[in-house]
Amino acid sequence: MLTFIIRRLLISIPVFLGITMLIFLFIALAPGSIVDALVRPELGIDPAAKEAIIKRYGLDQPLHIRYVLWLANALQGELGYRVASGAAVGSEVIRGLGASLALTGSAMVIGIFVGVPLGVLSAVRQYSKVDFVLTATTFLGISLPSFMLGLGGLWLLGLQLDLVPIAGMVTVGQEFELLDFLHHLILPALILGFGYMAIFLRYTRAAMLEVIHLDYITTARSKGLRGSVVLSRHAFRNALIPIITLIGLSIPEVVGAAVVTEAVFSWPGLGLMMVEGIQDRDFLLIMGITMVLALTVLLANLLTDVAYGYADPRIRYS
Amino acid sequence: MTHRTTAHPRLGLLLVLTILMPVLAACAGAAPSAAPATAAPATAAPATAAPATAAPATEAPAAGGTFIGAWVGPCCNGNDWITPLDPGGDAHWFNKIYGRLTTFQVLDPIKQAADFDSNSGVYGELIGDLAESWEISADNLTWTFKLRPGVTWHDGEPFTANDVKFTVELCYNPANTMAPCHYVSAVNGAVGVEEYKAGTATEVTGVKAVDDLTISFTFLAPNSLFPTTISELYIVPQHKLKDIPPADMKTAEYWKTSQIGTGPFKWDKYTAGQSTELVAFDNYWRGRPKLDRIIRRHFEDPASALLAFDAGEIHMTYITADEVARERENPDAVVLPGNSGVDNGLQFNSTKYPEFGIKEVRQALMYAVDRQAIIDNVYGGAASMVPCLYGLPNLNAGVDPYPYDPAKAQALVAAAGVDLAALGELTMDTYYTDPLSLNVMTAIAQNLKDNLGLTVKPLQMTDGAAWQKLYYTDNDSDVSFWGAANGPTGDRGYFYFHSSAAYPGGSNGVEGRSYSNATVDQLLSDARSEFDTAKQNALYQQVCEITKDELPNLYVWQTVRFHVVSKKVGNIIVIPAAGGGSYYDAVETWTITE
Repeated sequence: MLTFIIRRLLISIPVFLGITMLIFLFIALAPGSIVDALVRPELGIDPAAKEAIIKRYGLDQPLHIRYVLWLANALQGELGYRVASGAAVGSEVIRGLGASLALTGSAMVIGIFVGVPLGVLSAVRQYSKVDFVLTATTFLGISLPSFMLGLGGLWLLGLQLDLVPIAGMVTVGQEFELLDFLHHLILPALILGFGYMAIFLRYTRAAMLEVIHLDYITTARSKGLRGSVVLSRHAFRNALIPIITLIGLSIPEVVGAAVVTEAVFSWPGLGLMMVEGIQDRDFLLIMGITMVLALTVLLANLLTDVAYGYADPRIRYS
Repeated sequence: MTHRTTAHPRLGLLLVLTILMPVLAACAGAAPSAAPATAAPATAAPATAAPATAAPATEAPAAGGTFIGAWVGPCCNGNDWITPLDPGGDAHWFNKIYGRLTTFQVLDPIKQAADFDSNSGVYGELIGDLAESWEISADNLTWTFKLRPGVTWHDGEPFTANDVKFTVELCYNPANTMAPCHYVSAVNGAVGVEEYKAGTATEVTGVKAVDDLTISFTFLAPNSLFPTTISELYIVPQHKLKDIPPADMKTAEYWKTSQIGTGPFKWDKYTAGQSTELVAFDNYWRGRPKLDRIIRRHFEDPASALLAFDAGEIHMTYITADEVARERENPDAVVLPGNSGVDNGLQFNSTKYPEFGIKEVRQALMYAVDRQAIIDNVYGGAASMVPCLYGLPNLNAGVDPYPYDPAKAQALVAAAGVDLAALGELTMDTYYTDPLSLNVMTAIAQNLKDNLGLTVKPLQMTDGAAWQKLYYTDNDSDVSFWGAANGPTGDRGYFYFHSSAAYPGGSNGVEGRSYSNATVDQLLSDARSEFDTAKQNALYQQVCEITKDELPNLYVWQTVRFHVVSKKVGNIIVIPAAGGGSYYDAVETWTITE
């Protein structure tokens, strides 16, 4: 397994470089430039000043030179500065990553730890009232747009019931307090987690239904094993592969996929930052965030493969 | 020689206003309790340039407290754009921290404070801010500003003329990464600007610090509007910035941790993506602010900001016209309208569709849209038709807007031999993302479809994407719907209509605006050189008449914009999302009842 992990990590290096190359190319091919974001139409810009901006950001250089320069700087930890604010991209990405991990990570934990058990329950009680209620909840969770859930949640729990604050990560005008932060986190995490819960519930239910009617389950029951043992050791373990796949695919979402929720709750995560970067044509910021995203995808794939091995002893890596 | 000054104290006016306060407050009826009663300082201060505390309000709440606002909406870039040299619409936030040489008084602020439901908040007289008075030389080429004595930066250093000269030269320095420093364009045309920009001179020779409290600007040609156009440039401290290499200016930590100004509030804390916090500056030249703190909370979504307002977490936010009725039912809030100074306009891309290059076709498009019906029914009356770019009565007097006349529209298109239906479905791009704007564009599209057979589909885009598509790199929009700042002086027209601003070499850099008309050029230049206000207005009225006829852009209406403010706040003067330029909001007199 260790050899496998090392080999996969080594393979990840050229894959990672390939991803950065492709993203760099796509950004270069996209219409518009930094100038579009920096100039106000009603005030205009001196052509010389426009040229100065283009030169400053190296946009007058050939694409391959720009990429090599970016890579050389990136390898030294220099990711450049944001166009809009002049803040260092490295520290901005770390700040956004922290906010995203807190929000989307909590939401995913809620999704997994609520969705998967409920999925098992739904499958075990197929066509029962519980199953129907859970299925209906699932449809709601998948169908309702997150901005509607977010604004609705803020209106009900924040405005009408005054249980949670309206948006933001902390209460302004006071020092940071963990409880205050968690108070701000709970609603967006629940709302985002509701969507994840619905997806995990649905997939777990389907995966469980595939196995609980198979012969080996009947055999296990007929041997006199307790129902809970049959479920956990025989049925659930065999249903784990698609669930692990789903979790593996979802991990990269922790990094910047919750754009709408972040916008509604003014949660300054990587998703919002990415949108701002695209609006500003800020290729340095986009590259910085993309690097984190690419690394997360590669890491998630590796973790998924490792988890397969533990979930299913038949899968062996050599 | 023309002499303008704001330094003569109008103590009589101050006295009368103070005496009248209780009467005005009583007349205000159901207006918010604190606001009308304490409105006196807001008026007294700009008119007299005296400390606001000179006219204490009889029923003012105890000093202190924290005001929390959301500067959101079409005005603002968000608090990550934290530089006073290029603040854009956030100028109305940066005035809490920084000062300018001049600014505009809000016309009749008592009325605004006492009668929040009226369309007040119109720009009034130009007044001194960091400048105490100014005058023009006998040859009309040199403006000399006397700076206000005793003004200090937040760190206690004295503010001097050298700071003004430094700010101008920093903005023009090609190596300065903070550029483009748009508002320094007021100084364009001053002696030595081009040489300095080209690197052939080490200073802008036309800008002279005569002594610590005197700064002069010498122009190559008369520039009568300079005191008004310079009102948008914030002055930054030389002693703090002179040692930062211009190439590192934008990325300097200074802007995020310790920036200082001469304004009523000091920078305290910035939390990226969350808030910016300011504290009162004890030595502010108008007197210490009554509030202890002002906090700008960052909201990505204006809908969340409004929820936070309704929940009492913040004291002010921006709302659109369709939200006004609901907020007027809110017993804890007052809706504060203000003339935006922003026109909405339509541009039909004549590069892509030569049909729109025909003047009569553009006129037909104007006749085909029932603007008054849209204003009445969609905006709820919160807009007024404009005949041209200029929405101010002194600039558009005598020029009537196109009436709604579908028959005439159809006749003009027929006479031009154009079949607009054959163009297929065009998109109408905009950077306005609110539901109201979508409704407005849908109504326009319906008029164009019904009356001219032209099919236009509204498309709301993100800010950056829309600007890129509309203005610069692509110019790929079929039709676009946008806002255009049009005040407070007619010189705004220079940026839209003067041929030097036309594509590709000009400042506007957009093909659809490659408008060129020698008569208009002459009128705009003459107006800049004209020192007689009446004659100057007449020149701008001629610009209005010609551009109404030729329609380089189709300016349809000027909107009223709205803020909703908590009744706990007193004395507040806000022109919501003002596109008209700098104004004095007397923030040092704002109060809050906790």
